[in-house]
Amino acid sequence: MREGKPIRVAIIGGGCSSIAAAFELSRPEHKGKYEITIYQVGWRLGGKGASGRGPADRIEEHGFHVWMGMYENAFRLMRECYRELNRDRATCRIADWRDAFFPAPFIGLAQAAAKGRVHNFVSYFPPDEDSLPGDPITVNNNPFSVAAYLVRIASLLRTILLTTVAPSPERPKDHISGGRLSGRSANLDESRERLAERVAGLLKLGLVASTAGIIEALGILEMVFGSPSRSLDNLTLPLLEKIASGARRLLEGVIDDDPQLSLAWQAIDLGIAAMLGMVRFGLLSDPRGFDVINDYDFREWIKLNGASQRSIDSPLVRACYDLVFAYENGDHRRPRHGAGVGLRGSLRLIFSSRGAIFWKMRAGMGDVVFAPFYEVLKRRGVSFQFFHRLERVRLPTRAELAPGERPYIQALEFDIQALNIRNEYQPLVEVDGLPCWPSKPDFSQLVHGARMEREGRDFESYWDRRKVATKTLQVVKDFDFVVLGIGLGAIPNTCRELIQSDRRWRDMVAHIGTVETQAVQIWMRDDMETLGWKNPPVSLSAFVHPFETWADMGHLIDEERWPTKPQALAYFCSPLPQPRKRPDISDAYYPARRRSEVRRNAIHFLNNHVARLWPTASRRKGGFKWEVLVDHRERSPGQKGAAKGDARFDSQYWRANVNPTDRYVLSLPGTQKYRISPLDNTYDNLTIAGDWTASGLDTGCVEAAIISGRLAAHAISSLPALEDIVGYDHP
Amino acid sequence: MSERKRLHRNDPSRGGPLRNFSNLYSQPGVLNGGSKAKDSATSQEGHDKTRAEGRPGEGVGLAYRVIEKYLAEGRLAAERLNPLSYGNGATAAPLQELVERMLRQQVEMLPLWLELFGSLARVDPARTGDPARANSRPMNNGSSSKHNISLEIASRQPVEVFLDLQEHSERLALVTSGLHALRPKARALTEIRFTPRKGESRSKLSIKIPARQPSGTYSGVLVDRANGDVRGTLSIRIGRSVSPRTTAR
Repeated sequence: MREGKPIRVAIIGGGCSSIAAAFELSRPEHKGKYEITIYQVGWRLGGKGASGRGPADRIEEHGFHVWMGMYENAFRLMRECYRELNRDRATCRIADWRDAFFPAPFIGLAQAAAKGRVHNFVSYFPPDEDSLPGDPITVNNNPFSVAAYLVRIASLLRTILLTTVAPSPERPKDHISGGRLSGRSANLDESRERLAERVAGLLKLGLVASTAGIIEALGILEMVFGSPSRSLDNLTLPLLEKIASGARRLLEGVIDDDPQLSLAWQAIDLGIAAMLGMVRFGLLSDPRGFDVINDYDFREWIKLNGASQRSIDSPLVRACYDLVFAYENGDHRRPRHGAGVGLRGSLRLIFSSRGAIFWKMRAGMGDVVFAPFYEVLKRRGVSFQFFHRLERVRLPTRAELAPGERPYIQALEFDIQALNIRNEYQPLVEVDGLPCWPSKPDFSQLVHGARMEREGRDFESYWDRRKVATKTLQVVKDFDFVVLGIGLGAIPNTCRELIQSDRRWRDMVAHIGTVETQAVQIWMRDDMETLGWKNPPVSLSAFVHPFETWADMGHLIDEERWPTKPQALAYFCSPLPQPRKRPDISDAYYPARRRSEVRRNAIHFLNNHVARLWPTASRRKGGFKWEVLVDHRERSPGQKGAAKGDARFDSQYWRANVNPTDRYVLSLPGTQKYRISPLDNTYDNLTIAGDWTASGLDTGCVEAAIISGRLAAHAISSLPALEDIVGYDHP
Repeated sequence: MSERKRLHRNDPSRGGPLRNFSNLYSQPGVLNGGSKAKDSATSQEGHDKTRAEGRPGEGVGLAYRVIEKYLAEGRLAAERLNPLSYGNGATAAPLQELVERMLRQQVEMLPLWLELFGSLARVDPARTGDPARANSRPMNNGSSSKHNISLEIASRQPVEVFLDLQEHSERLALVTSGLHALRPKARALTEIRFTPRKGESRSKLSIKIPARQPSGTYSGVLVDRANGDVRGTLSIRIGRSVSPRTTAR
């Protein structure tokens, strides 16, 4: 408190990082020390995670979102939020975090094969209820122990072999499916040829298992030789190299035509390369941790450590890149991802995930994440100012700074996009008792709302500059501290003075890459099995350009209100290839052009590629069966006047995420050093927050944003303690 | 009205994450926690990791058991086929042939493993986790703190010497058949001489490293020339560890 008055914190932006910062600063433990106001462009919170309810109350997302089991900070805050929200399950079906999130155990990979075919692999990762993300971490269940990582690499490789490749009669059928795997379960009636083939597979398996045996033995030897001191590297390296070369020599010749074994071998090959690289590059002892290899591309680094080109091109690696849109300028021919960030992310994903590797949401991300946070923050007294678009962050001139005084934020200038009729805008709508965000603002709450609606005002579009007023917040008078939580793409336009006067900010915006993304959602009248997908609901990556990632989201249909209920729902997403020149603010038609481009991409994709996933969704002569799409305007299938052909696609949902704040943040090689930490104190009343900052994780994801928000809160209040930010001190 | 003043943030205790792996390892709780977690995870496969923290012999023994386990896995896979293959004359021959090939190839892996683990068993006693043994190492071109052995090294490259000798071995005529690297192409170090000093309970260890000897760790057993008894091990590490600075683009 200051003079008995609270300290005023202006938080700009309403994405994950801003919400996390607000959640931390408004904790009851602070006893009202901070008076927090969140300034949000448009009508909804969420940033890149925002979602809305559209026609038929369908969920419309920015893209496909899953939470990973290693999102410790995100889950921790989410669980606290639901606990504090204390919803009554009798009146609200999503009352607890376990109602909101559920494990998504089926993970798919697609691998290109000869003659344009694609092998689809689906693996089952059984949920583990014993340890859930956000559970307290003790020394006995610390998932971030590097000792455990090293040993678990070998353990994972064995698991891959024993659960994915080795046929076991005891294994439940639905655990492994896709491709030829399901056909490998023991069956007394199988043909002689099949038997011979199976034994041939076992022969190969024997070799693979032997390799895993070596690796497993290595894991034990790691323990034998105790803690990895610096000098251990020199001992371990030759051994690893010898094992790697021996194993590769033995195995590479026997897996040519077997996609399953190829994939298993690729996983082993990559595991060996990672272990070798960790030793060879001194990652076990370097005080910079994995950052020391960030100048390398992840694929390049893996190759340096001996992985075969086939493994580097494997769907396992592609999926890592797809997961984080790691394609420079959105060009799928230019996969680029910092090796240290990639290795850290991979290890954390594989080895520190709890409960499940992926968790899906029961409704839109806005519904299950941002609406609960909004409600709790409101209860805590946090103020929300919607329709505030930040235009300029102002610094004092040098003459205004006292000798030795640190620079600071002097003023924040906003355009006000709309004024509320009442004191406060009420942003949420209820869908069968569940508070949700709408896809459009409630114009009836806005002054001249009807006219604004007629004019088609798009409050979230960077290119729609219309405003009804301006507002300037002055330091001391209106705020004390600022949390700048807008997307990186918006920094050049709003922080011109910072960029002009501070080289680090200049470097940051010049070097940290971002990319536009595209997302498509289609609702279908046939279920997935009828469409030809015989496997469980899956999240699949490494598929065909331009939509490498597909997720079966059929579980959301019951959350929506359709006149004719769809039976399947599919989400697709990918980076959107960038134009050579970034669009100018005067190019008002840019968003529409890009949206048209996404539409064309989607139609081409459905016509030409989706049959490799859903064989019966296409006609015999080729082309997508457009009639399977459910149009929310139709009361019954095939009703008179219904759209025909690919015109039916127009009833679906798709978007081009082209706004500067929507651009996905990349972790290009050599750029991590340009990130600025929320702890940075150069401007002594400013902290930054977002997945573009130096969050420790340094990659574009919810967890990085939440960590960053918690760091921003720490920068202002010294809480949470840095040691309590899970995984921040990860090497 | 009192004038409000601009507030300043406190300087943070630090500006970034602590990335050092060794910090994690240096926390006994974390290391123990990780080990315990691993124990429970692998106990199903019969790997008693806690026992692996003992002397190297035990660890190597464990490694052998792992190898055996994987061989057994291969055999088990073969046995699963037996009721089918033996009951089916038409496919029995090719099946048996395939199974035999499988086992044969598994067995062919064995020498490689034995070589590897055998090498490990004789290098760097400091890794045993036995402080007493670790402390016995004479380090870096000096004289041993425990053994009365002086070092004389001729080398153009940085060298570290690890010597593990049984007690009362200093005055013996020790010989080695050469120190070998794990890299198959690296030639062995053969110019190793122990010279007992007359009238003294100490000896001199002379090591000559050829000018272009590849970097790496070279290890070998020291035996008593008189009776062939093994009296210890000698490991020499040449050159610096491979680092990003030397391997980077």
